[in-house]
Formats: sequence, structure tokens, C-alpha cells
Amino acid sequence: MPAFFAPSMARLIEELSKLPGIGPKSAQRLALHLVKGAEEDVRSLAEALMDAKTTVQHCSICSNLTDSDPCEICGDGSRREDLVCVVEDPSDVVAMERTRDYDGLYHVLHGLISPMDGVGPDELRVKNLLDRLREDEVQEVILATDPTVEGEATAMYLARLLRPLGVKVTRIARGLPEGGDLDYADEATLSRALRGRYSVDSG
Amino acid sequence: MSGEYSVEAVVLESRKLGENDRLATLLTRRHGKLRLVVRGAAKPRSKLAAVTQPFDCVRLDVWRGRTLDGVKGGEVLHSLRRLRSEPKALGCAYCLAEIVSYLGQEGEADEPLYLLLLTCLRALSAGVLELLVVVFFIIRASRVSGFYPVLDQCVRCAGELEDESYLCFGHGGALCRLCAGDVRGDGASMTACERELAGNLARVHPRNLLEYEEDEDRLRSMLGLFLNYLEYQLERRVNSRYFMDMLE
Ligand SMILES: [Zn+2]
Ligand SMILES: [Zn+2]
Repeated sequence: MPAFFAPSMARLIEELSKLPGIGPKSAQRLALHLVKGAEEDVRSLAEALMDAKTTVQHCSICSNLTDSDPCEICGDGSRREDLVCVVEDPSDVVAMERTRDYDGLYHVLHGLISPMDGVGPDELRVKNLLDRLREDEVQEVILATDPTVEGEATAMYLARLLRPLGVKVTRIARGLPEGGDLDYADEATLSRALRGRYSVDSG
Repeated sequence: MSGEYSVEAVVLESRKLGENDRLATLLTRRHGKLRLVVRGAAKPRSKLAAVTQPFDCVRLDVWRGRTLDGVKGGEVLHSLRRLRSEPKALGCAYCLAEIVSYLGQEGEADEPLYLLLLTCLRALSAGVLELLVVVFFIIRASRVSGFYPVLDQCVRCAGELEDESYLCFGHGGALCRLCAGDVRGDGASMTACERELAGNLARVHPRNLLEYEEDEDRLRSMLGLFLNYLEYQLERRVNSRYFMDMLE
């Protein structure tokens, strides 16, 4: 397909189509839109891309993506430091924050255990969660991974791992429909799931 | 071919596909392995997600697509929800599903494998000892797939086996002490007891698994042995075996 485009356009289309959820058709549409637009807009986009890439890092405490280390949430002295909510990725932090119902801290795993692909705990940010629980004053860990089978598998595995550390381990309530993504749940549902969390002590 | 069709299947896995969709891998009763797009499955309360939950037995209406077909609707025939909430059972269900995803072929019906998988998932869900179910499954799956090892006599010289024998993966069976002497390669020693256990599990009716009594340590060593044997025959690793160990 790109053979019919000028080489520079073809290159842009190829780069865009590497993005998740962007097929060749959408890549073409985006590329055309970009070159038709004002030079100022394109420059601003290019700068934003580079800026994000060079500035964004993992918070050394919670592993969330941040411009400054520690991140805003970890550095916010008014939040409860005895409560840590474990989520799959940064978009889940956004979803939880939207509920305005949670004032504890987070831990971002950046993925879920995927047994059939051989993605185990070593590929996730689990080790620094353990270090954190050994050192800090955390009393309760809320496992808020997606209500999918990988989310359950990850929560079960973490529950086993955390048990010997003597912290209270809870799982967000099953009110969430099975199989969905956490960040799709509306605020009210998520708040309910959070308030209805239950203790995981067996299994 | 155009239009729609309907399948009975066990869901092996469901993974993210783009922002909103999921891709479900199934073992169907009559069409072998099948991958289907599940549109909008990432959204909460998706009806299509509810009928494509891993390890459930389902009946699905399917639309035909250019590259992949997709789920239009369906119903859950046997909900094996317990498998998704019990750690040990979940680890084993993953292991079974992964092995089936390697054994099953797209477009090639394999009803014996389908029935074996469904039986074993239901046994896990019913609370049969997890280790027993997985060992039973691997032994029966190797039978169904044609690589069950020769264990009643030496696979090389047809001589009688003594208490100690050597399960040689490459020969696909047990070797007597004499033959094992000059064979090098993948394999492991296997006692008469273990050969007998394998033979029993190769014959037992699944309905009798619930009353089947066996030492857990022996089952655990059998599981390791047969997983290694299976990996050798499949020429690939069974990734979820490590996850199964983590949830032990
Ligand atoms: Zn942080
Ligand atoms: Zn021999």
C-alpha cells in the first residue's frame, strides 16, 4: 500500500500503524490529517511526544508513571499511608482517582500474570511491592486487578505472596461484572466495589 | 461460505484485542480449535464477554469474517466459575487449557480431546484432587493424541521390565536395564509402581476419579515426569506448569 505514497508519507504511515489499535486505514487517515494541518500543530505534537518520552519515569515508590520522583500521589502528605491499592496499569489509577472515594496510595504492576505466555511475577513490578511492604507502615493491601481470569490469577498469586508479611490483604468486591476492564467501570460501580472489598485469607 | 454457524466449545483463553475487544481461543466439539473475535468484551456487562469466560463450556453463534470469525451471541452450558476463584484449581485449569491449545488443530475435529478436557475441567470444578486430575489428563491426552508411552514391556527389546526401568522420551516408552545401559538422552527412571499407576489412570473411568486414592507425593513426581515427557513430544514448553507450582 505505501508504495503509492511519497517515501516520507509512507514512513509516517508505517510508524503510526505500529501504535496499538491503529490499523493501516487509520494510520493513513492520521498521516493525511497531520500533513494537511498547520506546521505549528505538528511541531507541538512532536515536542509533546519527545517531552513525554524523556521526562516520564517510574515512581521509585509506586511504579506509576510520573514526571517527578516520587510521584504526586506518593508525595502528597495528606493521603493515608497505611493503605495500598494494587492495580494493573496507570489507567487504573486514573479510574480509581475519578471515584474520589480513595485516599490511600497505589502500586502499579504494569501487567498481569499470564500463565500460558510464561509471563510470571518476575515480569511485573512485584519485588518492589514486597520491599515496600517490609519497610513502610502499610496495614492493608487492596488487590484491584481486573475482574478477568488473569486479574484473578494475579490477585490470588499476590495474596499468597503477601500473607507471610502480616498485612491485611483484601480484594475489591465481585460487584464488577466478570471479564471487563477496570478502567471501563463507571465511578459509582468502582466506588461500590472498593467499599465492598473483602478480606482474602484462604486459598 | 457466508452466513452464520453455531459451535459447542470450551473456552481456552481470552486475551485483549485492541482497546475494546478480546480474542477468544476455543476448542470446539466438531471443528477443532477456533479463534473468535469478541467485540466490546472489555466493557463491563458485555453479554459477549459473559459467554466467553475461560474454562466455561459454551454454545456460541458465530458470524463469518474475512480473516477471523466473531461471536454474535450464545449461552453458557456449564459454568465452571469455581475454577476461576480457587487458586489450585485455576493453576491446573490453565495447564490443561494450554496443553489443549497445543494439541488441538484448527479446522480438525477432535471430539475425544474435547470430551477429555470437559470431563477434567468438570472434575476440577467438582473438587477432585487437582494433582490427580492433571496427571489423569496428561496420560489420557497422550493416549488420545497417539504418544502414550509403552510401559508394559521394554519398548526396544520387548523384554520384561524389572522394578526399575528408564522412560526414554525419544523411544516413547520404558527401557529394561539392559537396553537403558547404552541409551543416552532425555528421560527419567520409572519404578514398577509408577508404571502401574500410569496404567491404571490410562484405564480408569473418569467417574471413579472421585474415589480414587493415591499418594500425593507419588502424583507430584508423576506429574513432573509426564509433563517433561509431554514437552518433549510437543517440542515446546508448557508455560503454565510453573504457575501451577506457585499456587500449590
Ligand atoms: Zn508514586
Ligand atoms: Zn530391553
